[in-house]
Amino acid sequence: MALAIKVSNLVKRYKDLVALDHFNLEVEEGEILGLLGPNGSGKTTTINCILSLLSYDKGEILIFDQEMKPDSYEIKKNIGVVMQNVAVFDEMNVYENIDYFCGLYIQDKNLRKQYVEEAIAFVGLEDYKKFLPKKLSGGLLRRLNIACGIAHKPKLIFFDEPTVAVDPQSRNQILEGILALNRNGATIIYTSHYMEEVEQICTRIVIMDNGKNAAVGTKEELKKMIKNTESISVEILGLAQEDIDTMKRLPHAYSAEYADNHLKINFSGGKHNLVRVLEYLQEKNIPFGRVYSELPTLNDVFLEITGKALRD
Amino acid sequence: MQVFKSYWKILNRYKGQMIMYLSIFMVVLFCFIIPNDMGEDGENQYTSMKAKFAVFDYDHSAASEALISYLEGIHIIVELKEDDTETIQDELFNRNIDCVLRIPEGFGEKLANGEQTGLVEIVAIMGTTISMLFETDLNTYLNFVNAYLLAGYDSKIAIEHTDTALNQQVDVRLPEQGDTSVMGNRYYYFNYLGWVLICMMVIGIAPILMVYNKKNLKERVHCSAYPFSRIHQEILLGVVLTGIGICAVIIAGAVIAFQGDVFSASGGLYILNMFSYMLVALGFAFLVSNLAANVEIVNMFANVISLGMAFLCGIFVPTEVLGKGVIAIAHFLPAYWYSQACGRIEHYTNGALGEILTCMGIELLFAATLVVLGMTISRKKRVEA
Ligand SMILES: Nc1ncnc2c1ncn2[C@@H]1O[C@H](COP(=O)(O)OP(=O)(O)OP(=O)(O)O)[C@@H](O)[C@H]1O
Ligand SMILES: [Mg+2]
Repeated sequence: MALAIKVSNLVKRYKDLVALDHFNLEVEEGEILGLLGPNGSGKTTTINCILSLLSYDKGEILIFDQEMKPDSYEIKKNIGVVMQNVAVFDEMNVYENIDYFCGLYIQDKNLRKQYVEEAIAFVGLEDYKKFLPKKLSGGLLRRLNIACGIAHKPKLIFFDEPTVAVDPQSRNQILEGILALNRNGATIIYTSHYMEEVEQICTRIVIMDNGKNAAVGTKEELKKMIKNTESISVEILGLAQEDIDTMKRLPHAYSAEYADNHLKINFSGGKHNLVRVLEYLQEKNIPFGRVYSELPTLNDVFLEITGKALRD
Repeated sequence: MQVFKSYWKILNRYKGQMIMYLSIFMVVLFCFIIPNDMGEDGENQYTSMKAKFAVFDYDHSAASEALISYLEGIHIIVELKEDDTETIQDELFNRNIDCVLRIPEGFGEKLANGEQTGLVEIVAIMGTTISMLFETDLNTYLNFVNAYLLAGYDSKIAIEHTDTALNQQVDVRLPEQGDTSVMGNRYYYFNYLGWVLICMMVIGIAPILMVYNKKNLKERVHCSAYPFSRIHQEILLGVVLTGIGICAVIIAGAVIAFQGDVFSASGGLYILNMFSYMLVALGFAFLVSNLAANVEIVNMFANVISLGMAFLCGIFVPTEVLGKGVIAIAHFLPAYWYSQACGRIEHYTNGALGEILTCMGIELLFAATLVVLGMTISRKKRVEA
């Protein structure tokens, strides 16, 4: 597989703060790569460095095997950007905005007209063409921001937290749209601190923490990197400490917590963990309510790899 | 030409204020400046401002004679034989005289004692401009004498000083032909631009430039395949064309108001001077766009800069009235040079071309300085971001 992006040993400092610390990244053509990290982990900084909006202290950035510089216009032609902060002209309406940004790449008038209409249809803003951005709701504004970024049909698209402050319905539409762009052949870099989104659409995930690349892999690969394979939770009223300690010693179990009348046991491997838990409870005649078995989430991965939760 | 196109769309949203200032200017022009122009040249206006007056001096003092000789100098004295109501009314009615001045006995003494009311009597047809002018001159004279008396001079010296002081003033008000202080309407039209252009361009252009300077938009555009240099060139082209467009409207206004006078050597110089000054105005707009955080602050800057310069540089107030200190400061403001050039162009003879071009050159230097200043600030901001 050819590489769309290769970032090696990138270092970026803001005065004393090291925002990126020898960060490495490889993005293959045709994939959706998720950059997952908490607020301030350096996702936007990474993207801005790759786009040559920021100068950096050290490292190398290649896009489609060519060095990326501020005046690499040939490379930039193939890139689409959807910024974290909405970047549209308040003075121009929806159609004019998309036409403006598309026109920064596409000079041919007729082709551009077609592309702009397609972008409007793609984000579902057909009824709002003449609206000024101020008149759009937050979700519609985000969609306009996306349309402006992708109208010229770029091969490589950056999405920096495009779903922040968007209701679940619009969010799903946006995610569907990104998948559709990818099916049409675009390589996508997607940043977020919502692990569900990343899990839902990304083919590969980079976990960022403090400007470092903490782990890389598909979600399955990431989950295999950690000890936890299954967590079983049971609702039980007034469980004795003795029982907690015993259950902690069940085969493959490595830890157990009991809080708010919920028992949670973590397992590493083993196929019949749920059966063993239920058998023990019946044997001891302990009444219980609902039971869940959960596979590890990216949050668990994050927790284990960085020692802290992804979300506060 | 994507950026160029967007410029006009954005301009379209901010054009209101610009049109407002242009309208104010045109209204002032067509309602106030032009109607005063009755086709008279300066010389005719000068003679028509002289009152014909008769004097009856019952005091026969040095003071009364000095007063009469002063008034004789600026107005026309007419002999009247008898001081009786009927004769005076006939003469007034027939317009042989505009007014009669009666100086009662004791005038000199009263004046020396610092009395200010009831010194003389005036008979005139109520409310005629010319008699009011006469009265103003009379009162000015008496006030000056009073001021010198108050300052401690004796009445003889006070009268002498008053004569010298007022004679200088008369020189300003009633100049010889060709003197620089008689200005035609064309002068006022163009000189007034010293205020209007700055105000209009800063308020109209700076907000547009600020749109392109918004951090998000700037970064987004810099990600694109559109070269930076082209972005700047297209914005510059839009701004320059706006300036030329406004100038064209002003020239059209001048053609309507002054017809052929625009297509003369001095008319051409006025227009050249206006274009130079337009660059200064655009320079201010660029500088302000890099200084102001929002449109309210732009308006504040526009008013402070344009009004400040208009008052200090001889646009709202003639330079003759300004103090030496003010004029010294004004040398550091572009509006002064614009206004100076206008004054010289109004009385253009071939010899003065050098001076006029120097003024324009200084304006261009100001424009360049403003642009460099704006660029420095913009660069400094970028480094800090
Ligand atoms: N212009 C700047 N000057 C100084 N520090 C900055 C600047 N921009 C970002 N930082 C710092 O760099 C670090 C990384 O910021 P960055 O915006 O890349 O994080 P992020 O992962 O995108 O966070 P978020 O999820 O909030 O968008 C943060 O600690 C931030 O405070
Ligand atoms: Mg960010």
